[in-house]
Amino acid sequence: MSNPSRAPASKATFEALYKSVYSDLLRFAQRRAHPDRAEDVVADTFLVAWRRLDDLPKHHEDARAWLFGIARNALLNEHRGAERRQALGVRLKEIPAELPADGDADLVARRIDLARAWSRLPEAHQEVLSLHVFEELRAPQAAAVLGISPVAFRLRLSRARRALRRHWDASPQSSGLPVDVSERIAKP
Amino acid sequence: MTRSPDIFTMLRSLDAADQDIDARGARARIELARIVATGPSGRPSRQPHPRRRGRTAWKVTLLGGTVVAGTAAVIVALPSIMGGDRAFASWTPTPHAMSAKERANAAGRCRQVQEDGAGRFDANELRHADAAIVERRGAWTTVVLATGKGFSATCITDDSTHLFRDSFGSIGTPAGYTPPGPRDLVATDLGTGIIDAGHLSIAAGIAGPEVAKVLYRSPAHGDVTATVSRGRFALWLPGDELAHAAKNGVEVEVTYRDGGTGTNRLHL
Repeated sequence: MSNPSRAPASKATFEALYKSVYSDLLRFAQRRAHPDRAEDVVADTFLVAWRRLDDLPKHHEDARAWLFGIARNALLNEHRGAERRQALGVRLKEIPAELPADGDADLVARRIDLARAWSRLPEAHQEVLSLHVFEELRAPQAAAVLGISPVAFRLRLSRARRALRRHWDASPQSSGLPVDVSERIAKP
Repeated sequence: MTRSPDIFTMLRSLDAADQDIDARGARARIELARIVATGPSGRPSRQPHPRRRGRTAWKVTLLGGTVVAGTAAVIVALPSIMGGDRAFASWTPTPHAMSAKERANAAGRCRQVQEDGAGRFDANELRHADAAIVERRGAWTTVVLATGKGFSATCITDDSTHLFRDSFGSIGTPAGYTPPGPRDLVATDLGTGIIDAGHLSIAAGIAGPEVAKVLYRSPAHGDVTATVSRGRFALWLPGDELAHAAKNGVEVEVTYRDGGTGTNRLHL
């Protein structure tokens, strides 16, 4: 049943936003929440957005970032009080233990090393890198997700990138052992 | 050692997210329909007084239909006369979380309905009960108000209607209640009932402190996940497949906090 207190235009706006951002928002959640929780996080986020439709930014990229920010706050708020986290860790996919018969052993080894380097990063570094690399947000939108200024975001991104490269360069060339990055999953 | 200069390109190859998400899939469409069906700031908080056409059996009072369930519980079914999710079309086997405000509203409505109805006989327990479970399955909200002494009041409500919501509930304390062992489950509600939307089956009760997850493998609906929270568990599903569960028992799969798994046979 439709909600009679919402103007049809508002409902249409929300439905268009839902359809255009749903996939990106689910990916955002999959990277940060337990896989079993990702769809719930998306549903919760859109419900909050529906209730706060008056706050919806006009431009699509800003609206997309606004939704990411709502999802991030929902995930952070799952840990209350002293346990409340300040940043969300971002998980990478697991690299298969077996090297494909026709695979590039050197490339696989470098990816394993990179995953290990990622797992050594603080969650705050993972978060800014992910907003730039995976969510592909520009600095103003990424900063809005984190509630900081664009200048501060650029500074954090630069530090995080340097830290990742430092860990990557410091890691020994992998012999192809599987890497378990699942421990970096954000606790639901 | 020389590294690839483009660290971000390689990082993208490690993305854990699915690349082929269908924004028009069933789950996405159901959620969209559910969301736009809700109001921007809640709904009328009062429901009509329960219409009762009940009978009494032992300490169990069955009101409104052919409800079966409950250990020392009072079951209430409130029929809807204003439409709603009449065929459980929006029901989902996995419960969804709700916002803090929605949880508070749902718990408040359940408490009010129980106070106005069968709960007047359990006013003191109801007053001391906290919201142990508040979950949503499609348009349906489930609330379990509970105390640490075995008392619980349960409400399952179709929230897609603004007035005269289809509703199902129970209230009471198991006779001779003793707390479950760390890995045990004690059923308080087990069986079926019928409301406007049709038959529903419910399994709910008290969970030991080491129980993290409860799963019922439904022949008709696949895996139905219970909400486990604050020492309580609750699941329900459309249909009457738990009609004989109170007598014959029903098996559920349990995951413990240490990651171990086991099975538990619920019975009343």
